[in-house]
Amino acid sequence: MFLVLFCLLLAAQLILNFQDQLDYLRTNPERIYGRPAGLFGRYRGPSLSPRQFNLVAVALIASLFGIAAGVAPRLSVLIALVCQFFYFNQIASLAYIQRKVNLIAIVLLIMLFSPGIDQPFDQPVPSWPLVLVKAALAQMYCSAGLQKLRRTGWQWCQGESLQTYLVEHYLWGDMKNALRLGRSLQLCRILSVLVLIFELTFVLIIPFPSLSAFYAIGGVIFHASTSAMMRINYLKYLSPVYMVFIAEPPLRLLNFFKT
Amino acid sequence: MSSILFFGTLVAVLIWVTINGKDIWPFSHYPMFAEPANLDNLLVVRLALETREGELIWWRSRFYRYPEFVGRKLKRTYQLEREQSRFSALAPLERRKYLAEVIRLIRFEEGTIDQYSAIHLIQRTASADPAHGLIIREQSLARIPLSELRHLCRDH
Repeated sequence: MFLVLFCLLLAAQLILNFQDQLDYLRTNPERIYGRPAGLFGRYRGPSLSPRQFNLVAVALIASLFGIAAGVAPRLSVLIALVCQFFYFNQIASLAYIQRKVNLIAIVLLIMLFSPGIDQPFDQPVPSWPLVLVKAALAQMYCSAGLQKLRRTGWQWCQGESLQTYLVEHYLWGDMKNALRLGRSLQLCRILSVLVLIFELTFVLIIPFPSLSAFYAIGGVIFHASTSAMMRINYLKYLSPVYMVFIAEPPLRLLNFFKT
Repeated sequence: MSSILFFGTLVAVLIWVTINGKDIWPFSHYPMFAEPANLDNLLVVRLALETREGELIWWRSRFYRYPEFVGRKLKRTYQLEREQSRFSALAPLERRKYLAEVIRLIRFEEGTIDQYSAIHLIQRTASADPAHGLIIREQSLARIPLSELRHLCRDH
């Protein structure tokens, strides 16, 4: 169920944003940003022409639909995994790509090794793949929180850093919402504490799955806010991964009725 | 058995990149907004375009991180010059390289640069004033006529 929702939503995002991403490729971002980081920091994909980029996109979207339709799911996952590397590597510097698509690759990798992807929905399957997807999500947030503490310490909660980042976004990008928020150090302080608590405790969804809905809603609010304030749009390519919070309850219900 | 091995390996990699602060795509330690920041040290270099009518407008790209990234690179060139490092002699060349790319991007998005006569590099800072709140200050760093950059801007 998760894999179907994940693939359909990812395919939808790719289709909706394809023209924008193709136009970005045409601006030749490597001339400004340099070559993007490669797989495991070492293996860079080849530079693709717009035509080749089109072909990779078609292959990627087709493989995602193939997974959702149950057509040779494991092979389709492998094709999607390879294609998404070639696809996103070309446009890695685009604002809503960067690290925001990391989890796409990780989820596809998990699904490649998942024993349940070629089983019908009503068949009970091991739950460890979904736990692993949640672990990858939790690592993203927890690591972000830990790096703040590592590099700034508890001083991060004082609010000055967040205030400065907000004002910086206004100075280079006219983000008026960021400036409005940045004017209030007190509000920045409160938000800094909330962000750190959210990030550092996200991992609780693993030992306490009943907290998942709370953190999922918190995550959506968090990312919607950063999108509105600073045009940092994680939701585009994180929303497919967030399907893990939606897919699990119906699956449990289905298996409950089965037994 | 293979499932356990895969599970353990993936969790180990996720923990490893977190503890060691590494980025090995697609695994990352997500260090965004982790550095300490202070309004006193905030300095942004932003590009403005001078129209033929003499009006100054900020350079805005449809791909809105371009102005930020180019601004950071240009800021670095001025820092190198101030530090008088061994790379400072290259700073003007670096600036021209990025400005040529800016012109290329403007041509790509707007079709032409004929409506502009110069590029301005503007330094923007902010400070917190107890009486007046946040104060934004701007200082011009350079005005570069486009005629000086045209020879760098051959389309490819």
